[in-house]
Amino acid sequence: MSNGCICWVIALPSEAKTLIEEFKMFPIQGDTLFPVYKNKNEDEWLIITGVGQLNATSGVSYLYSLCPYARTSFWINFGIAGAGKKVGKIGDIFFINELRNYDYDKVHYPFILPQLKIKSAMLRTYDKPQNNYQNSFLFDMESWGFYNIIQRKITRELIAIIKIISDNSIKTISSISKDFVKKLVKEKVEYLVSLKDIGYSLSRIEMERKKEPYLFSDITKNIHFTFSQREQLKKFLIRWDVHFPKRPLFPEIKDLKDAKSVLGYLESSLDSHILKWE
Amino acid sequence: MINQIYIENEIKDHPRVQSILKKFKRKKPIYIDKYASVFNKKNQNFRIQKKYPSLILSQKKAGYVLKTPADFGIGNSHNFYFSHMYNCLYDCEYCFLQGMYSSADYVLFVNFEDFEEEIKEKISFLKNEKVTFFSGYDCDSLAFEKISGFVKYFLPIFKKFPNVDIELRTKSTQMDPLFSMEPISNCVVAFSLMPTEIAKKVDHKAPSIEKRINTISELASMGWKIGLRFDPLIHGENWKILYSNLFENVFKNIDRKVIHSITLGPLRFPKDMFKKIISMNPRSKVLSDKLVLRGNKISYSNGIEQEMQSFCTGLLKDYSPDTLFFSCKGNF
Ligand code: SF4
Repeated sequence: MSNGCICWVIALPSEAKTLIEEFKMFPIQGDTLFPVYKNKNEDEWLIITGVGQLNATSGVSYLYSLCPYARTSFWINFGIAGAGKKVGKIGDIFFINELRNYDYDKVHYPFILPQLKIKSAMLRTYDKPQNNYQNSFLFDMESWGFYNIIQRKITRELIAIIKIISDNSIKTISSISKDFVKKLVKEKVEYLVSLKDIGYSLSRIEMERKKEPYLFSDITKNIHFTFSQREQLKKFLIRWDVHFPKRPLFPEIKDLKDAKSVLGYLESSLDSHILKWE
Repeated sequence: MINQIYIENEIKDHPRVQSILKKFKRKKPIYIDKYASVFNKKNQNFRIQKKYPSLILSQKKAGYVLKTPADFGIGNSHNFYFSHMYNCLYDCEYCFLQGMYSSADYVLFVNFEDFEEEIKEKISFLKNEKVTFFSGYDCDSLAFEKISGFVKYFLPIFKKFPNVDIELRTKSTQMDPLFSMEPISNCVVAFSLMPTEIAKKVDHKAPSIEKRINTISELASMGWKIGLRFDPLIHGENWKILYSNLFENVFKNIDRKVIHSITLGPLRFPKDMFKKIISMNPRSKVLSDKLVLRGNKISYSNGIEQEMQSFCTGLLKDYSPDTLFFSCKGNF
């Protein structure tokens, strides 16, 4: 997998429906704690967590344990949110650049994605639905829980929160229905596709950085390496790849029988190599 | 290219902040309480941020002027450094800032006046002593000048203290404030140099060696004092030829009379810092070379280090007197 991977974390089925259809995802088989979907290439995953921070947190942990590329994926919390009247119109889409929780002073500043073509705003997460529309920020019930857990697991540049305003006054709150939400999402699908491109490209960078060195599994399958020898092997294999990209290693070590001789061979080959600058 | 601007609430009305903001009219800043809430987060990818760096305008609260590490100096008995900025526009593969900070965002401390005060205190405390102040330890002194106005602010201050030296360490060729000023006798403009062939591969985003040498030559012809910093010395095939060519090229283009000092420094990293740097950039050629653990530092073997140091020193001595050579290893 070198294309990168995207993981969507979404509270409601009506918010997820359009994405599942547009991005051709299907439910994963078997009993799952939450509804989880993925595409055919397994490079796009989606979880429907239910409402609230606790659900968002458990959903993230669950998807993290299911998706094999979770630690190098680009994670998006997407959904609808309320907003102060002055923040924007119903249907406006926002990138969250400042995230606060309602009951204490902590703050997260998500990494600002490059080539961001939408407006940015602050969002505050509450534990109960809100109807104070005098504020100058968006509000929801999941984002803090989502961000707070995922930022401990992966690098900050691979996390984004995207919200569409669903209500910005007491009057508008009554129009929120499943169909209305689907419509709001559908109108922004084009943007979400472009967001995925950025997400994949950032995820690819992280995947490349964390990828297992070439031949590591093959070598360690046949020969026993202690923990520290495995770490050393990884380092040598990366160095081999950097310095001898066109020199196949396997024929050179195929007759070596134990970890010590493999490591010794790699070390002496690498140490006798002289970098070429010209 | 700045991805986003963050400003600490406390300094949002600071005149320097306001004037910087005028240069980024299309950016909507985010106001924060402390720069650390963006900059010091765990789990950040320095490499990704390096592609899309943000600018954080902050004010330093303490530790404006610090003592340099042992063995870091250019002839004076007291050596200090001060950092008005963390991180750099350029992206050199061996840069230790990658291991020092978790973020590649630029932090610019705008309270220059506080730095000034502490610099003046140190100067008055060490009256009659030989003192050097180094800038460009945690950033490049000149690369960000158009935004920061750092040199324009600080050089007139140092001009008033001719017994105290200030070194501006740089790879930049953007010399506007220097080109439009009379040379200041106690200012050393110190350029980091390495063979063109190596710089092309490792000094990403930095001006080419040719351009640096041209800039040095222009400054030299104006009368600015020049520092030559062959640091780090980098090994590889034909390194002797590459360094010989470099030295020849440098001294062919620069009037030797204006050379204030020459330093050579080995490629070296504190152990933990190296671990962090290589984990961010595991496929870097120079970092994947045969570096070994020696005490608490990662460097070439003693043999390689010594050979490079003595070969280069030997060559340089043909061009310059011994008195210009200093060690700037900055032992840690
Ligand atoms: S110029 Fe200096 S500070 Fe800037 S990236 Fe290169 S080594 Fe680092």
